[in-house]
Amino acid sequence: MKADIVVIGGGIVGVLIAHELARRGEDVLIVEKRYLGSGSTFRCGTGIRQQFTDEANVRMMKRAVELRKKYHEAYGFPFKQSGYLFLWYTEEEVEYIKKAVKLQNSLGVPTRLISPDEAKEIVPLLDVSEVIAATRNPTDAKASPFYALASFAKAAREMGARIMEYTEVIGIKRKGSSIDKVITTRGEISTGIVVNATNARAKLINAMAGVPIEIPIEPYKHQSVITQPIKGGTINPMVISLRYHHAYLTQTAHGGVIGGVGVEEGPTYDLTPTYEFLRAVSEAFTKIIPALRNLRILRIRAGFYAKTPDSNPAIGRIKEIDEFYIAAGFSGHGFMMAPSVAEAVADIITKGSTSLPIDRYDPYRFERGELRSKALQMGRNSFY
Amino acid sequence: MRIGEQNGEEVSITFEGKKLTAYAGEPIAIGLLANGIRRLSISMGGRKRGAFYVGPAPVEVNGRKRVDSRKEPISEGMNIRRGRYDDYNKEPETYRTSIERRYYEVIIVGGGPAGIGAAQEISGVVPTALIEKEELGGRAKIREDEFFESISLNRLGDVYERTTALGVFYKGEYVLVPAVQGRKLIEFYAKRVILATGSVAGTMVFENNDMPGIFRVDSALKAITLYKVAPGERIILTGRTPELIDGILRKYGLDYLYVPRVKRVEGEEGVERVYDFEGNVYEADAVIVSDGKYPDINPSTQAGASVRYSDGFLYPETDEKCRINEFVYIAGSARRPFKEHRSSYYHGRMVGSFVLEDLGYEADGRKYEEYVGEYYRYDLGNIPIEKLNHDESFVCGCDVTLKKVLEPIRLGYHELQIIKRLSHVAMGFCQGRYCLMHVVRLLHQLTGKDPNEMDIPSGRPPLWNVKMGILG
Repeated sequence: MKADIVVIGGGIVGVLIAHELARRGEDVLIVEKRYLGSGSTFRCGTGIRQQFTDEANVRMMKRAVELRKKYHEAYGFPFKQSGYLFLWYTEEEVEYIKKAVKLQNSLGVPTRLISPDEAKEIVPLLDVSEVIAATRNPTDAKASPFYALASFAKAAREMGARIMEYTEVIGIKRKGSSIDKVITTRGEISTGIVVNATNARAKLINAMAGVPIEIPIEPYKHQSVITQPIKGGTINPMVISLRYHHAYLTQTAHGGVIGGVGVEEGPTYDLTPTYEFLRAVSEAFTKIIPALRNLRILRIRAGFYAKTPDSNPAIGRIKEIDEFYIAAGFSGHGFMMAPSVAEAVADIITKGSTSLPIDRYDPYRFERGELRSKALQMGRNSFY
Repeated sequence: MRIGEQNGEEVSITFEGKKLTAYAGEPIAIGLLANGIRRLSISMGGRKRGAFYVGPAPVEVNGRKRVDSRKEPISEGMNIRRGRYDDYNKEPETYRTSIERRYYEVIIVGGGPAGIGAAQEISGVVPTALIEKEELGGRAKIREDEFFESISLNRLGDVYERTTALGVFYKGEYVLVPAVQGRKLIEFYAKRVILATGSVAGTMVFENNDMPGIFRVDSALKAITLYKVAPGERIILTGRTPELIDGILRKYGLDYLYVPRVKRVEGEEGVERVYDFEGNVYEADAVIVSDGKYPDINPSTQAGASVRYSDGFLYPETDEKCRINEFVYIAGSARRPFKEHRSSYYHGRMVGSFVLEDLGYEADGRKYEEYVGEYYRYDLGNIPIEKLNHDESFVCGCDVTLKKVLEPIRLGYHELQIIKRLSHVAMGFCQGRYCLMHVVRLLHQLTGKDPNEMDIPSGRPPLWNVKMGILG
């Protein structure tokens, strides 16, 4: 088998990269170990946020929202700009977040600091008795990972991309500095270009290709919960409360309440749901919205946060290999960021450069000891 | 229609403004059925629903929304109204009273014949807990099984009825099985766990198969034997295993007509007419669906079992001692759908013996082998998709139509995991218990794919839906 470009990993990032490459007329093949979305995409919290605290992440997420909106109109998968609502409980937090709001506003993201009463108007079930302020960006969004991924995969196929599921990469053969073959459980693929979009398993693929630098991406188990469906529109935005276990929660198009808390385990490849999470998520959610006490939990499930030390991904070309690219280590932000990542990666493959601010995600920064400021991420132990 | 002596006191209730008579203590859905009322709820998709097939059955009681009509006992003066699947109460009312921790050598989940057999084998030797989410006896009790009625229910160890296990969690040399009993959370720790969680009744896909008046075989059995209320006056029995209930129907003098396969039901408030595939039309007010029994694989797969397929059903893979690993054993119809309750009971005893042996006691489980009889073997079965209206036939009680499941398959998605997520089948209240087999059938029918090649979703905790307020 032959392909000009092999994308390893059929999650949202891999599929969108292949989609973008196929759109540009490239011959691309996705190799996925299990089924599309089976790693983390199908277990993600569905949120798409632009409220970050550094310029590059705000710009990347803003572009991601623009692209996702465009494709939502073209392909029809559910996508709703229902906003993110952060709840703040101390003066210190509010001072810190005011600076972030300013930055976001300067980059065209219309976040506003609002009062607890305004927050309660947006989500009437909230308990705001301890909340002193909230930040809301109405253009943040949520989308169904299932329909989004399936729509992009379908479109990619129609544009000529090939997808091999239940096919595991077990080796990468090189001829000198060049990529020669990708070896899989279902045969060899001759190719000259490999994109490592495996996120939680990026280290393994890097090792197979002989990537000469250390890119520390480690898999951490994060879980989410889904409840019985309730009336649509009850919880429109993604509600974030860092105080209560770094909780995030919203309502899906099917009506269930979905979300998670920052109970993190790892590094591990184990994705067994835990009792500790079941307790912690129930405790946090019922503090934020007391009426959730009455809802039945349908299930919990686990996915990966593939984390780097600064919670920013590694995106770019590995110069020593002809040609090997990485887009991994999304630290819980892969689903939201994928459209602009796909554009940036396709740019550097087809044009050699991109106007998107991916310098921040330079895969060589770890070797050079140039860690970035931490991306604002749910599920850490401290906020600052 | 009431068909025997009632337990409990006669009380007055109101349903949608109308005064009715019922009996204290019987579930709301049963009391209403006895008054000829079958339509209780409206689904997310706006469909009229009853309480006895698939999906939840919420009603409003004295202004409180989303009361479970299948469980909530009737009391004097109750004012009941129809409910909606998406109703909820804005006032937080679910609070946990306490958390307790209990240690045992062995925990048995499921108090049907297999769980009872296992408990009787083990409890005299080591501390044992038997956890049952309803009452002891399971399907054997509601079938008034003669063998089951002949065994005495003693020497069971500590019995926890109305206690819902949330899952199996591994904690080093102990296994944690948290469970909810009323508003109490109990953390059970043990060295070994036996899952004796039984089977689920097979459902069928036909037009308007979500209509009030349709009964799963176990719901019909409960109405008749536990509460002495008939499912209807003109009963149609359908499906491949009428023997699971026909004896009870005869015993209680309930006339029925057996129609092997139903094409369509019609009616205003519930079933009025039933159509078969030969063009016959029957007047009826109840349809009892009895299409096989299938191991409930969710508890086993949540605990880590792999799934295999043979003889028409999915089952957890176990070793020669019915173990899925060093800690967890599967007993009774949770492993193979036994024809006789006697078999489940002796299989439970056998597995109990294996556990004792593994814990270092002298025991001989093989001596029970001769009492363990046959299990059901069917073919996979099929859904006559070319003869059904795809918008009106439901694969799942969460408003998932045949059309919604066929769409992704026809678009080329042949992975069960993807079909599940695109159609939302097996993602609701029952966690796939009543709908997953239909997807397996459809995928096989349309693509020829062997069920053993399908990626079957694992059960996720909590094994049965519990309220967040009890855990938080």
